[in-house]
Amino acid sequence: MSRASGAFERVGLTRERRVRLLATLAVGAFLTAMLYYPVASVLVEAVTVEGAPSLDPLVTVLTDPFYTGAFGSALADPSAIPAGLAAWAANGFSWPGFGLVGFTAWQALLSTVASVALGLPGAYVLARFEFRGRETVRSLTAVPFVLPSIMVAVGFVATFGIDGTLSDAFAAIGLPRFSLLFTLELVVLAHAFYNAPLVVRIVSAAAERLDTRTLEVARASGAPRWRAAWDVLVPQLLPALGTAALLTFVFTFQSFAIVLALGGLQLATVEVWVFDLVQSFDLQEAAALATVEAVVSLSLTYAYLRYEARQARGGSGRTLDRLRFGAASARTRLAVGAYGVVTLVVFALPLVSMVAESVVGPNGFTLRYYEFLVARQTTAASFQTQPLTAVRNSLLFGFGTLALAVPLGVTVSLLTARGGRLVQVGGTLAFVPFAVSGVVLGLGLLQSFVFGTVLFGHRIVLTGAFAIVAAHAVGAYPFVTRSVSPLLARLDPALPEVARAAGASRLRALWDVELPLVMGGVLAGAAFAFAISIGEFDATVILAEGSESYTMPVAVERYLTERSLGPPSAMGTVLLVVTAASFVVIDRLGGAFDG
Amino acid sequence: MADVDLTGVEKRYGDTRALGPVDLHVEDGEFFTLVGPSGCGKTTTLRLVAGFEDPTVGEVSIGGRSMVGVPPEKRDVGVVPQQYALFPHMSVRENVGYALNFRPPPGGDADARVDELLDLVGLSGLGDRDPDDLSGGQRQRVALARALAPSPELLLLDEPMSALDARLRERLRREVRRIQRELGVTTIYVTHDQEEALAVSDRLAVMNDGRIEQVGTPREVYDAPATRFTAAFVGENNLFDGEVLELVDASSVRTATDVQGDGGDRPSLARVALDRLDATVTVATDAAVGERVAFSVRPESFTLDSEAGPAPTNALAGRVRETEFLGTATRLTLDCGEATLVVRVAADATPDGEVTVTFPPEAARPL
Repeated sequence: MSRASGAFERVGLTRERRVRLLATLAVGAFLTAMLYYPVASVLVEAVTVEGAPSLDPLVTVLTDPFYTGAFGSALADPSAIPAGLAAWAANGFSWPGFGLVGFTAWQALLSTVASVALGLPGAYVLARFEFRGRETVRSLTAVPFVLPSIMVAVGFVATFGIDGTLSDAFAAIGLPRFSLLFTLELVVLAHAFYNAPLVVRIVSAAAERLDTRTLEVARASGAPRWRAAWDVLVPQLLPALGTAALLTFVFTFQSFAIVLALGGLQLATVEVWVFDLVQSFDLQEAAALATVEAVVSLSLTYAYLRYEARQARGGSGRTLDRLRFGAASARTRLAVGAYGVVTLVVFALPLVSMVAESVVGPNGFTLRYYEFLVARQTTAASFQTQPLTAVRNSLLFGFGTLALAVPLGVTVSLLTARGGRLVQVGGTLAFVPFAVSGVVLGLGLLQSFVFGTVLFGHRIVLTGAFAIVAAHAVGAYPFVTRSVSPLLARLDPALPEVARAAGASRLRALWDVELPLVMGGVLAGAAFAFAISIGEFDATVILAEGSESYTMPVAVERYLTERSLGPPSAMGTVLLVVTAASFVVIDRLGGAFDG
Repeated sequence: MADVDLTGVEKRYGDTRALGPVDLHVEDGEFFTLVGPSGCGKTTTLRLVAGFEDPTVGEVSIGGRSMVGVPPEKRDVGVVPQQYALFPHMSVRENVGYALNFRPPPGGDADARVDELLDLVGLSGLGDRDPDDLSGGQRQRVALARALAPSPELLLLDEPMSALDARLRERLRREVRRIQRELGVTTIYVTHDQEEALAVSDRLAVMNDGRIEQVGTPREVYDAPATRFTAAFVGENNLFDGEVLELVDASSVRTATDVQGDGGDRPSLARVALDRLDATVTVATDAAVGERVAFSVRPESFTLDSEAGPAPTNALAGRVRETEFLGTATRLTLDCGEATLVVRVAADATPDGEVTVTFPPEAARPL
């Protein structure tokens, strides 16, 4: 019973801690090699000139009015600010313009507003009404996560282009043909296609978690219906709306394929411009611009993660009662019906148009575009993009991504399951892929590993194919983690403890108890990872440049520049089928992304 | 079977001390309970014994063997956690037999062993069910069977009844006790319910704020609470503070019964000045005049004045604030000046207004 019990102070590591440490190191090593190092190598390029530290490249970008508009002019020549302000006032405070970066933020803001506007009514309908197919609609809101952006672009061209469905319809009734291609409106609409479902998903999920007893208490306290909703429901939903909006802004700020295909260089965003600079081998300016973009995205993503962490999860109270849709007032039903038509035009028409475009030629129904996918293989010159090669590469990279992303994502879930400050930091770092654009990652991998890099005295060169798989895995594993972590968090921590007390080692308990119980999440995450790999465009297009490693989305983009919509539509349809199959797996197995 | 020793055990999380230092000895074959309010360190203590956590300082040993660096799977313990943590993806049979993968039963017939256990807890025939299809009480039995399957030398139960309703809780705790006696397995039982602790334990430790307040048999802890906390936490109690006025010759005071003192010593009596009256009560043998003393008196030790003898000692006057009929007794809450007094009197008593209650000197327990 001595008080000198310090003699028993534990030293050294238990086996479990050693395993955790090893796993952490392995994850850290992979992410460092395939994410942080390549991205950092891009950023370094932005702050060095011929090997010496210098802010010149960054300053050049920041002070160039082309990039930052009035802000850049002011930075370039601060002494001219008063005169500039005077001139601005004299001009009646006209819109000063903030250059490429400003435009990118502006279109992201418009896209966010459009997504919220299009998504909120949907969230309301899902949360408020009970109707047949409600669950299906809810499930479908997860679809954009697996739809390849370039395929969506094809769908929008097939709908809103000069030969698109709407234009055809106009022509059929004698109205002039039209095209919305290369308009900001179409880019914003395509972004809404992508992100409105996200808004629906996050906000309706929050609405379904609402504890309506708070509403009842408010009503019982004397608040009229609208006042109770305003005082009690709205504040509970605002965080979810904020989360959705922030996420939408981050995604659309970095948007690439949609802008490239639907906006072209005249509506170029930062991401598209970085791509263009890379293609013209102006790597330093590309790096500097990418750095500016990364800083914006990373800060917003960090804000998002912090904000999300503060939100309460899951109430135990009574949830909102849903009204049978048939019982709603006629005016409500009309409004919901009108909203349904809008969603059909925005969401279904592009996909339907693409599929239709792939089987309709100038003389009616045809399979020749699909025949082309096979035939061109045999006739094409070697420098041309061969369809079958693209399909083969896509599948190969997809499985490669699975092999990397699933173990990685599950390991990150396990390592971050127990909370703690270090875990929080690690968790945030692990979500860097959300914030780093594919083009920057692609550029980083290209510069470092594909061109060759020297590490510890060894020259390391990776093939483009491996770099593509690495890029896909880095982009996909957070989805595995996000599918697995919530299931893991719901597990009673006593489960593995009981297994251990029964005699199982820590790893055996993991294998016997935790893994079987989160298997649904693992499989859903795997389907996510596969779909994301199949659809990834941003990093792939950079890494596949000039090599045989092009994938289906890259092929779609290349075919899109040709005259006929047939080939890209046919390949887009193949993409649609593959990703739809992945989606079914995800949906069945309960992969979730509720913010 | 094995005894358990905790020597100078402390558990700290960063700067906050969750437990200790604690020294504790649990006898071989004993049913030992850790009882205390939530956050008192009782579950932490259990987890340290199980090996789910390591002590920051100090040592746990089981059967005389130091457990430093021994992971849970090498400790030969059976665990029933709160909410049971049945493996939801395994059948009842697979749950119960899980530990037999690692600790095969003598003779090696795991199936027979599982049947034996299901029989023991009265669940024969339910082996193929999913845990989700069982009632709360059945789940608890499965958890118990699972913990006992490999014949562990030590059984650890963490609030195993907390998810059950009151009636079922009482029945199952008797059953747990029966099975424990039958197997003679050393058992450490954690509960926040002091009544449950008194009912099931061979001995119990009352814990508060990371420390052990008192260890003893249920009777010892109830009859002679050693600290203010124990007096208030175990059963209902009235606490008094006062100053010793004079020491009294024990034989000069009329007492209803002889106090059960340690080793036959006559306890010391003293006249103590309380808030509004002087009382003659038991004090510690080394109490001196002028010293501040504290003591407790159980509600059932009081007698309503009308029932007391002609010259009552220790009479307290108060006004009845609340009357609760409990079936076997009536519980009165009295306002006595600033203080509140709780007394239990005969079930048929329905006093009102001003009453006087008395207690015998030996009913006072010095703290």
